[in-house]
Amino acid sequence: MKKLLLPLVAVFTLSVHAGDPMSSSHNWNIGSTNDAVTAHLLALSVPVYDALLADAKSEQSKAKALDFEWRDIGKFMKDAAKAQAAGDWATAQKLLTKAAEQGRLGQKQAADQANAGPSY
Amino acid sequence: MKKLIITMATAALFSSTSALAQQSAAVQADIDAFQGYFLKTYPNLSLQDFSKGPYAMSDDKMMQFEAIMEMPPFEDLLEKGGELWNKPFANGHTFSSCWKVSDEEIRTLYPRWNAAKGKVETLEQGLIDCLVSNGEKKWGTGKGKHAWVASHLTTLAEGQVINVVVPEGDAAALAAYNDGKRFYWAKRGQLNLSCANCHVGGSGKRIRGNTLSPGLGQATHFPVWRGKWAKSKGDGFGTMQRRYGGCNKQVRAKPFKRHKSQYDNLEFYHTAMSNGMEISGTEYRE
Repeated sequence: MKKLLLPLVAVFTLSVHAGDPMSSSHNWNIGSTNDAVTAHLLALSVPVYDALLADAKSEQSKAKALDFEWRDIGKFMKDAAKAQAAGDWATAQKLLTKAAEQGRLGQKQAADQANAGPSY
Repeated sequence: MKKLIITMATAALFSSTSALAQQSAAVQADIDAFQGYFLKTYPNLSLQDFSKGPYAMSDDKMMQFEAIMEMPPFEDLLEKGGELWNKPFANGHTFSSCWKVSDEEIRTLYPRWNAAKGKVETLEQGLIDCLVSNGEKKWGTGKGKHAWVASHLTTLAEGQVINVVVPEGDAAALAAYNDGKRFYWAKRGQLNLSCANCHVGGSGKRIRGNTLSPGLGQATHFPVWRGKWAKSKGDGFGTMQRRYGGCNKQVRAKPFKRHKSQYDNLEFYHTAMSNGMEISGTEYRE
């Protein structure tokens, strides 16, 4: 996953700079160019979002198969979709990372509790 | 030769009958340890006292419980459960036709191991199966009329004794029981808590404004009418498996679907731990 994310983030960063959509003389009071930049950034964030979502879903499925899925993973993914649609890429990324992490923790919990039994 | 065959056949019959009825020694040891823990921890309470849950642990709470039970807020719904139980299906049969025992005994049969199907059967699933086998539509599970009818049967069975049997020598039954046992003792969810953390080790302790009920005796009064459920969704009634789902959510674990192996096996273990206790009928809980 890390291997996949690094090139994606690199492409994302380079393409933003290569486009140089904001010249030094840009007038920040005019919205049209700013909107175009936002749209451009969002379009570039889609592959990263998709990769993070795929990772979260994969970890969720593994935890579910072990009967140790945590409650809020699905909610995090729904909220991430809303954040992404609203252009809040940072929140979407944060939520998907959290969802994947909870999936992994559920799997670890399943392993830890494999031999659970009475203890008085 | 004839005498020998008769003797052997008789011996075989008795041995198979006893195998069906005889409790697994491992399970009996679990029950003794579970009940022994509670009786040792609460020396002033008898086995039967535990059916009153946290109310048995506080005079004030018991007074509150008794006051509510003088005029139970669920009586009309319980009556509706009785009416539904006796209402003929489209084919003229009633629920009773699905069981070969008296209505009073039905609740005591469950949960039980069905060797032919290789799974645990619960009373609530039995009600749904009965509807389907009589050509009726399935009901929603866990609350509403499903819970009212199950509560009607629990009320009819009041005073009878819980006796869940995991047949000795039945490996599949023991595996299902052990699955439920593991579920009960395994920590789960983001809060990393097991059923036992709250209802064995934590029983009688306070959690916010509530007292955690003991795991022993919880199976004696389900489906139950909860004030919390009456305030939020539904009419207050809920089955054991509805409660399991709620508990799982509270520890931030994803709940399982009702009447699937996870909760069926859990109910098998959980109810077996209250073997020997009387069914106390439908009751109020917070």
